[in-house]
Amino acid sequence: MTIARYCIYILPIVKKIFMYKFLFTFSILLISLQNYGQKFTISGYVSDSASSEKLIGVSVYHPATGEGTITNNFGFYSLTLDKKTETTLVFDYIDYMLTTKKIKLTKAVQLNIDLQQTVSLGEVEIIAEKQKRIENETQMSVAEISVSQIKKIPALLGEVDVLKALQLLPGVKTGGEGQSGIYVRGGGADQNLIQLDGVPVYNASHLFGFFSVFNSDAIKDVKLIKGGFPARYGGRLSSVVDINMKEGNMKKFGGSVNIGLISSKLMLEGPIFKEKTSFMISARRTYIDVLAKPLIQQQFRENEQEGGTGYYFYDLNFKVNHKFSNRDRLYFSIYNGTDKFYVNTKDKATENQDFNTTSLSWGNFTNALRWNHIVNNKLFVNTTLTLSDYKLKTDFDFGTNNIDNKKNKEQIALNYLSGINDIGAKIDFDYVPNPSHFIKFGANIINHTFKPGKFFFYQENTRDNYLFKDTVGQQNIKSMEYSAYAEDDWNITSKLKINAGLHLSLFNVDGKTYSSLQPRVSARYLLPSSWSLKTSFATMRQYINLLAFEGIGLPTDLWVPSTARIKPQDAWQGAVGLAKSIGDKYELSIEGYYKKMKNLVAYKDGAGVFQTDDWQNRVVQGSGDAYGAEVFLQKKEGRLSGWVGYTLSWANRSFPDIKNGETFPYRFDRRHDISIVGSYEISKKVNISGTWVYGTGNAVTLPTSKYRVVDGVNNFNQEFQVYDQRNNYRLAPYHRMDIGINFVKQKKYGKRTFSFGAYNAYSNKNPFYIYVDTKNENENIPNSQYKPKKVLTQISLFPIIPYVSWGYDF
Amino acid sequence: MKIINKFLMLLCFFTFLGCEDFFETTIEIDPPKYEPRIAINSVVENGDTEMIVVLTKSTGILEIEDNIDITLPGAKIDFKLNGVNITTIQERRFPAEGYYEIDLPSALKVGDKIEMKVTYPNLPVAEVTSIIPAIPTISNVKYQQDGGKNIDGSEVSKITFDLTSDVASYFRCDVKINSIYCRSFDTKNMCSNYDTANYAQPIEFTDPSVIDATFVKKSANDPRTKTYIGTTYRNFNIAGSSKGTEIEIYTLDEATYNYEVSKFLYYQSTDNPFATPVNIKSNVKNGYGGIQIYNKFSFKF
Repeated sequence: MTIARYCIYILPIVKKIFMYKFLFTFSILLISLQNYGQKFTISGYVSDSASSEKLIGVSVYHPATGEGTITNNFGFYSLTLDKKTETTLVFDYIDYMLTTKKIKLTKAVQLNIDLQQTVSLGEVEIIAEKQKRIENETQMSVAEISVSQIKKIPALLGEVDVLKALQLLPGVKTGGEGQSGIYVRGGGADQNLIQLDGVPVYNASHLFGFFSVFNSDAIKDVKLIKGGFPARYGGRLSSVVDINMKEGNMKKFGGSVNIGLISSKLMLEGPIFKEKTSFMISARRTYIDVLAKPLIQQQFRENEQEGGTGYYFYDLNFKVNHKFSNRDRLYFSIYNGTDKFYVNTKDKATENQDFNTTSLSWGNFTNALRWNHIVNNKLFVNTTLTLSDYKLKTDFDFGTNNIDNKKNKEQIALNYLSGINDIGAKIDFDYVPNPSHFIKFGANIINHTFKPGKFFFYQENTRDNYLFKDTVGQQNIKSMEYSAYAEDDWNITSKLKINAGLHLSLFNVDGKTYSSLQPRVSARYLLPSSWSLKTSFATMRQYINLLAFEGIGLPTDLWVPSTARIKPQDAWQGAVGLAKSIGDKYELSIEGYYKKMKNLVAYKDGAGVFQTDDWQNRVVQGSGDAYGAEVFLQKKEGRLSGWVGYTLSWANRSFPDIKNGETFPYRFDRRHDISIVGSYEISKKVNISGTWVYGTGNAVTLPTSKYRVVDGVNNFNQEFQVYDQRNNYRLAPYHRMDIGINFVKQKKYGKRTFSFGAYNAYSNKNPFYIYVDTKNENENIPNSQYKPKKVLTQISLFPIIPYVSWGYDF
Repeated sequence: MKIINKFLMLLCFFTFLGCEDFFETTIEIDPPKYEPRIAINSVVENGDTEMIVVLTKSTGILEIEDNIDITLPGAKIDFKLNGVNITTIQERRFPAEGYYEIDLPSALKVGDKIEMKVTYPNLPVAEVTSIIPAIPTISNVKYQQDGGKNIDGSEVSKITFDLTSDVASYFRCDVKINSIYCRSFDTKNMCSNYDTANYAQPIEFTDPSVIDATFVKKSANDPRTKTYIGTTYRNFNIAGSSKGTEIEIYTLDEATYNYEVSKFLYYQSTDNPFATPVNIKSNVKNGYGGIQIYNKFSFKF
């Protein structure tokens, strides 16, 4: 007892001493990092010269010493160099002129730079050796595609799609024909942190997954991280898709209009107060419902009904930013997108008039308020408040008006509502004490409200004076997620650079608290002949899960949290690779990876979505692994640009409750995956583009045999099919070519673009799914007897789909 | 312009060529490999003095059964009851081949162990072992005719009972009103389709672990005595209510419970291309099917 009592008193003191010691050591480290030699810091923002849009990832370096840094997510950089009477800085960014700047470095300097976009046929005048080379970067397993490149890629129905462009990268797979969902390195659809301006987007697809919610006209840049995650990212196991909206032109008004086969887009941007405040607003809407309206109305008239039916989706992006001073800047962005399918019918009869209203709608609403503040020329802070809301709503309302011509009404309504709502706050610091260190640290807090599905029932009969209302389903689940991180991008020697960090996360739900400390490290070592060796290790934890049917992005997919019963998903991933720039135009990377995942969540056999029972009873937890190799050869500049990617991979799953825990291939276990993407500028007025993809067929589950039983209670002769193993059969390989041609013409007030192209240009019958069917073997023999024959039937979705669109940029 | 014209012509050509008979294709593949196995079908109840066993064999998924005889006449059945060999096994030709009748030396009772081994040429030997499960104590059975309203507004009766057992227990519950099972109901909640057997009227239990409103599992982690609350449709239009309401409860062994639950899930996933396929669970080693065991008892109100 005495020892225990002493411990009670002593432990807090020991903890305090330990904490002070830690803070003291950390402070000494920071001071020492700052004070060796006489050095001064150059800091500032790098922007586009035409619009003042901040540029992310610009390489800023000192050619004499090779020391350098890159701009952060807000275009800010900080570089500390030795005192010099005159020195030169180089600013290097893809699609922009390489820019050099001479400065006197006798004191701290604030230097804001505007870079000029290249306008010639992609050829850049080389005035200094390029620094932003793949072999120099510590981060591996990362891909950045410029929006201008994405816009050149031919797309289904001409709808330029950010997520579909990412599917063309090695290690990234599509869920199915035409789907915009991504599956990264053997991970599931819920393991991707897709964020728009730092806000998670929970359902990133429109039209049952065929289009993503990201309107390319409103997007500034896209970055995909597949592994070697820096410590600042957390909450998902497999990838981070970081998308930033345009900020709006600070200098002049402009915009673009695009009219396509299924939708039209409008984007406007410009200064509210020149060089102080700017805005960007973008809208997109489909018009299938509007075009089909006359035909539908005709059908209604023939059935003596009135009403309407249709489907549409729309997106709205809005962003405004204000520059208070060189040190302070505020951004506010909103995304609102909705899909709606509806059927409304009403009998024209005056008596006993039946009516029916059915609708299914779903959509995301996100917004972010960000404050950038430069504390000093070495410390940058970004504070963000976020809101993300996803809702699925179904309404069925039917009945009869004016019963027996007595204005009585009988009505039955059934509504279903599910979704997820996040309110969050985070603070991120970028600290650049000297060119050898780039330290990032910060914290994040998110309040999640999960709505796992509720039914509202309403029945009324005014004739019988009857009214009934009820609500069934599951209660909302509230949870809190906290995280903190610290990482350092550290030049240890001129050849060895590492990025090391820690990510701490806590999750509180149902009175249960989960915690996780996740070490992250990436390293690169420069080898001769412009090669570099890279390696990374990262552990990840995920506290939220998506209950979904694999391969298709349905709005009914349900986000649910880890609970006292359902453990958080965990993973670790190790990767090793080589990278090299070939000349100034080509980049080559070769990577191998291994990923181990546990506590993965999947539906139990036969479980469904529209059920009122506890969702926890419908899921099982298991483990998985994925490994493979990826080769990526990219040409970013020049008249011909594009890439070739190849992936050799394996992905497996194992659930104790499925087939006695036997390991089976994951649905997206795809042995070979090839993508070739290219665009070529024939002249200033014409450019052509094409993609070709090939992938081993998805794994599907097919019965191998069948047997009959006599059921004891019902005494019926029943046939049951036997599935020897999950995902025991392969669909036919998937391959497809898309082609496009753009005609660009400079007009008086802007640039006009006509785009033509075709998805699946050689109309390959790619499998969507297959099933066992019974057909007549004598089908083609006249007057013959029916002779059943069992066959496998493959359903394909898209033959060649041509597209045309017209656009005008002003 | 020549390039454009050629491009557009090519596009149109492929479009018309590509759309013809595109969406559904019959694909020729080698049938998935499989090993034919014996399926054992038998249902026994506590108190039975004979068992009927039906033997069939599995066939390839693309095979048409009209062309293949799936029955197994002349199979060798080794049957043991509580470790004692039983040889009073007769093959019957009605209603089809592959039916076997086993005369038992005494009525089946709780704790009896049944072992069966079936041998047939060119098929792996199938074996199954089952034990007649204990009957849990069911007490405090209550039936309340006016049990409120269901989600769809229909009036329901309420049933509650306590189940006491020390081990995991499995049972199914049905309700019979006036000796009649009601198969379906009309819009005014009247029984519109009667059935004398088989289609039992389900009980909607509040316990979320209940499957198909019928199959109940009381796991070993549950309290020793657990109260079950359920509702069932109230039935008004059956003339003469003298026979009252009867709740039938069958206790099952674990294998039968798993079989019934997997069968329910199997039918749920049928014809849904996105659903995860379900295998019917079986306790037959190297085979399919199983011996389904039911202990039936009922309460009348």
